[in-house]
Amino acid sequence: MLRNSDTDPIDPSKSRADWMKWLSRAPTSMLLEALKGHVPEEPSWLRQPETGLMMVKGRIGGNGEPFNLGEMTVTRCAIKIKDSQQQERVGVAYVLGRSKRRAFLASLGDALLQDTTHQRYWLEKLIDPIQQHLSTLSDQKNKKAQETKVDFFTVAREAGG
Amino acid sequence: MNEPITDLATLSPGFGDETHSSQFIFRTVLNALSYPGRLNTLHHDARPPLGLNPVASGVLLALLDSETSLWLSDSLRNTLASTWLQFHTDCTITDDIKTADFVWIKRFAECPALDQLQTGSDAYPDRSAICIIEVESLTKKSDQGSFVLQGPGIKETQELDISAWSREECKMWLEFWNSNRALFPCGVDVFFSDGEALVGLPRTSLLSFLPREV
Repeated sequence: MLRNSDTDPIDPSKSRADWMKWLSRAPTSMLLEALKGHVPEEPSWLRQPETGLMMVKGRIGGNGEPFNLGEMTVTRCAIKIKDSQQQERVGVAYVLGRSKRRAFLASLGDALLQDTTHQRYWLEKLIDPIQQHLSTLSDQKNKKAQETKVDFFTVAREAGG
Repeated sequence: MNEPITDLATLSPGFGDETHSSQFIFRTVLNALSYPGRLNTLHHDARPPLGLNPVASGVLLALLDSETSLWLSDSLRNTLASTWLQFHTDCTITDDIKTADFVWIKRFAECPALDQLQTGSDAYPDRSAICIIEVESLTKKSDQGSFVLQGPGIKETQELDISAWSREECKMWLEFWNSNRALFPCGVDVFFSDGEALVGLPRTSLLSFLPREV
């Protein structure tokens, strides 16, 4: 089994799995802005960005038998960088879609966050804005869905009467 | 899931240009099997873990995928070979040599008799193992005596010298090879590599040993 060396998170609510989740969902523009000046011209790849298909499985009602829902395009890569202690860190990213640039930036973010001396800085500069941005988006979506909600009170009244 | 956990930072990259490097290696492998006994030089841009034979690692990196399995000889088992190949190719590492599609042998002393490997069936002789054996050096011929190959792909005869092998080892290999030949159309195909060149020995080749006077 392969696993990257995990560093103890400073903030337990922000484990590596957690920040990788946010990085993989972040829009390219946000990643690019936060990582400006840290993007290597010629990255040292452990695994170059490659696009492939992944099978998405579903369960009806969340508890039925799993079935294959369909395939989804995923781009992944693994990048090697030296951290501030000159220790090698490997950043890994799996992002939906075919953007190699986005996978590259997400993996770079993951690698930078493993550097314990600068972890706090990157959490604030990189992860917090992404988290905020994505939760605003989902709030807006929920709000819109709420507005179009219809109460079928007449059905309930008739059934009750 | 009790396998040891490897730090990714210890692994080295695979091919720089996966498509073309794999195609180039595949072509070399094909040439090696088409012209048995000939030395084919093979260079590639992958960086296998330190201490591993670059030719053998490159060939396996190009040929392995998620549907194939690999068996490693004892002295390769505790190296980074398995994790490196697993990371880059998704292959399965197996302990059961009988079911392995690929067999990688570090030293001739660790080579099992070839009939212990997957030899295919009469209906599917292609479902057999490919065996890669590392040797110290490969030359066309030497004063010590050499193997003589005959068969498809060879005009008259082709000489091959595995100079680091002792007389006994050469004799033992002849026995292995003759019993492999007896299984035809089943049997395994073998590659030798000294880290520079790749030599193919398909199951169709006849092998004899030619001692030479000094």
